[in-house]
Amino acid sequence: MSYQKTVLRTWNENLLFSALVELTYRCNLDCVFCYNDLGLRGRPMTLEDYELFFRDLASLSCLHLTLSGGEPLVHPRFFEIATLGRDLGFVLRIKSNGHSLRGRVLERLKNEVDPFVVEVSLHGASAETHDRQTRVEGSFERLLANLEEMLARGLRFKINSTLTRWNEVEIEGMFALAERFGAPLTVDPDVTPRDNGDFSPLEISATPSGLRRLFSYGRSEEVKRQGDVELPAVDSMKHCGAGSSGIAVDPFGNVYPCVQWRRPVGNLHQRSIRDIWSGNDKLEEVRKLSEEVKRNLSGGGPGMFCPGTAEGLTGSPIPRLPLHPSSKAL
Amino acid sequence: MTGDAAVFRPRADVRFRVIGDEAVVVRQEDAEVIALNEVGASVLALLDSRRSVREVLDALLEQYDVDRESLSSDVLGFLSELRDAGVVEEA
Repeated sequence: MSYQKTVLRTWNENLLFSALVELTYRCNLDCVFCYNDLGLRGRPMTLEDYELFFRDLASLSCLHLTLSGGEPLVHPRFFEIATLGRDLGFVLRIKSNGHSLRGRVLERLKNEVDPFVVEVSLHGASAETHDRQTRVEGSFERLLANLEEMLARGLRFKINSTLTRWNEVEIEGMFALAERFGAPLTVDPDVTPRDNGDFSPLEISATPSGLRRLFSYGRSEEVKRQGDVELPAVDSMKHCGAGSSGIAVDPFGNVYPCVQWRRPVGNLHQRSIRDIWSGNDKLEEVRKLSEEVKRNLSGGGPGMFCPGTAEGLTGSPIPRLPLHPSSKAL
Repeated sequence: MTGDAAVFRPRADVRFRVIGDEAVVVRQEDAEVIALNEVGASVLALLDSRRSVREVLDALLEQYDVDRESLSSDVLGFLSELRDAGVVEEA
């Protein structure tokens, strides 16, 4: 049995295999196009809530656990939560802006958490552009210094970026920076609306020429949406594993099919993930929609289409033109 | 030569889950993913730093209709492969 077949099985048989957990929406940067709904309110998950949740995930054979935010490292109990994940045998990923990854924090991350990988965000190839997007002066220089330190400490990292009209002219420089650190760079071609439906981040969406520049420069594995954990491509009846093998959870325990598909399917304060995962009409609907999306794109492969983003933009997860110029569906 | 009194455990960088009748093993150090079949998954799930190979065999004999001698040979060979692959180590 190959890993690819296992992943296919998780999609087809609805086996929960990966979870992305947003620990907090607090952040030490202030990115212009941040997609988090900073006005969302609710009862935050406690350490005890996370312990129950993670134990349930492990008992469901979930292997991949991604801690995200906001900036997960500013959560006051980050290290306890992350260490819990390590102790329960998850393959841990930390999605961070990289701003605090230095000195003692980095040392603790390496020694106490031992993540599989840290994914950091790069917003440009120059301080002018990066700091313009993060709205924190000095964040670019600090990130580069932190990446040097991570490299020296042997912490595996990859770099994520979102193409915007501000950084699209620096795409070659961003790939050169990643190469300098020997780290893979993944560029998401799309700025997305905020999770509260606010479209203002789209004001800095990349231009058509910027997109062409990216697609002509980046290899296919380097240009893709930043969703959940990266898994091998599989040929399933479904378009993606959202709600079939993966979930996302916000800081207040709301469960979604995916970090990009913000359709609540339950809340961990009310029901365990085991209960939410089985016999859930909302998840069943998501799974059926994923099959419908796949049928609608048949002959064209998945391309860059994301049903979650489509639902946020149009109210429907079903593909409608125009899609990206990269999409094989065109 | 490993005997059946030996105790094995997954290496510290190894993460795995048994999914149905197979196991997915991730060796974090080398970012390598290994898939194991049903028997391999059963063996790996039994390696907990406490059970000896003998006790692992006892547990497997309750699951599979096979003679002890051939099972012992297969399991010891499999553990040797897992050790060479960096998945397990002797405790």
